[in-house]
Amino acid sequence: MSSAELRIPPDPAFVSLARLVVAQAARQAGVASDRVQDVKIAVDEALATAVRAQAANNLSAPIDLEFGSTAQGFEVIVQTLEEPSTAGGPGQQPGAELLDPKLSFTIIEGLTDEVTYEPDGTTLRLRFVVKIH
Amino acid sequence: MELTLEHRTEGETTVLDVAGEVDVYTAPKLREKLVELVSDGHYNIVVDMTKVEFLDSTGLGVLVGGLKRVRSHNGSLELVCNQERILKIFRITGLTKVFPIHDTLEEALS
Repeated sequence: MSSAELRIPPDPAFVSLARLVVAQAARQAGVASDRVQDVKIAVDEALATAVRAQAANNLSAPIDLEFGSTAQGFEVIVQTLEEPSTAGGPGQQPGAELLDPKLSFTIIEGLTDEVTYEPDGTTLRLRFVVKIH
Repeated sequence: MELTLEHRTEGETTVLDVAGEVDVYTAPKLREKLVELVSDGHYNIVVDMTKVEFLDSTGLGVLVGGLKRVRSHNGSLELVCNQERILKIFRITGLTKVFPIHDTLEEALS
């Protein structure tokens, strides 16, 4: 996988920046323009899920994204890392309570060609692929 | 991209113009606006999403919450949306069966 990595705090304010970066990488990798929008939304949903998970577990560990081209297509991996909480950290954002994880997964599954989701205790790893051609 | 919200009254209907991006960061602002409108007695609401550039499941959750609130007062919440990329999200989640979605504001108000 020829990939790039991005690490953001579990703060809703950073989600828009991350989805723009990954969408641009998808465009440069040759993903069709109408499917770049699918990547953008899928990244948003994955990050929103991760932000919510961190808030629910009162964790402040950053969220890691890895993205790039593989033999399967344009692949994105979003994962959280476990870390002791810090009181008053960004994991307590009020927006997190609004999310419905089932809705997020339904959208990611509907927009991408391959999805794997691996929750493990208080961490999660979500991977999806959008075909390039 | 900022989220801007403006409302006005058209007869017995309240039109809420939403412009910008509705995501995990901005959706609380939309939620607060809908709660405020219902608290002020606006039970028939049309949310005009013509100028929405991005919508995710957080935004959908807020709209569903708004629908529940107006329905508890025998009201209605309808949407105006003609952008395929936004409509796609409603279709994938099955919410096209939950919300009346109109192509134009005129159609929603008729």
